[in-house]
Amino acid sequence: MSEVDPGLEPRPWLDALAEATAELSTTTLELDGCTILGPRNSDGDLSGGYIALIGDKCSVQIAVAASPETCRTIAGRLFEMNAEESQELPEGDVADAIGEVVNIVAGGVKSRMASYDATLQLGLPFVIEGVIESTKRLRTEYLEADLGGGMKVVLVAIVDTRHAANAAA
Amino acid sequence: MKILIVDDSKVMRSIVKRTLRQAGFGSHEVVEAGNGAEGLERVAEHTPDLVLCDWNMPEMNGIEMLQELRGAGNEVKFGFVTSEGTAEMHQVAMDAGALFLITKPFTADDFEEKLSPVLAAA
Repeated sequence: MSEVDPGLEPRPWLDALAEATAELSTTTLELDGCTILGPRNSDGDLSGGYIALIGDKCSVQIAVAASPETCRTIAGRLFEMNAEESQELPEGDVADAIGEVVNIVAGGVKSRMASYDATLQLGLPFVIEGVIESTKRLRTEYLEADLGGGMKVVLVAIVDTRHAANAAA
Repeated sequence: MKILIVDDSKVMRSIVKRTLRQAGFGSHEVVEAGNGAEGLERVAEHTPDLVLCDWNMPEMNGIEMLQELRGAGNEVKFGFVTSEGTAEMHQVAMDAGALFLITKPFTADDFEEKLSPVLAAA
């Protein structure tokens, strides 16, 4: 494990999330692979699927966020629809698809981070419009990635630093 | 042959159906359920040859559904398709009577490897 403490820093979670998302791209989404484009801000019109990973040593939220149009395109791909059909998908089906995307990658993040905290448990995925911002307690980092086919997403890792502080106390 | 897919996510049921087709099992009849309780009803109605079941679901989760089936003496072939695949979960699944556990994200090759022996023996 690096010197960075995953209980306090989002970066190790973001790295694991990027790896799990790349795996999702070539398997479930049947694309050629994911390209990491670099850090970005939380600005923009984004919707995201979020899921909690909570263990004895840490409390983290990870998310896969994208523009509403890209969320529909991802959902359409999973439902085997073309781009035009996917724009007609009901909101509930889009939310279901984005929730499942983050659920799948969260399993990959959990297994990749098990050496840090073997007690990690997954929460249930939820979808919100917008992204969660950093606060004094929540440390957040964002990474932009291209899932393939020009589908740009924002990967988000949010660490609750108080959880780690309480665990260490 | 009949395969019951139990998952609370409509899109995941769609992905499992697509993967079954890609793995060469597209000729099998597919029945769907949205949670373990619905899954028990579908088993009673349709008598499937195989159940592919998610682990975490509302109302009744996958392991509860499997335990309910085995408790009632139903020996339908049963496998999990889940986003987590820890050694502990694998052991719990096998102890309850599951034949395999496939971890998401999966490929058609994963399905072919796990399902071929099961469906060949059905």
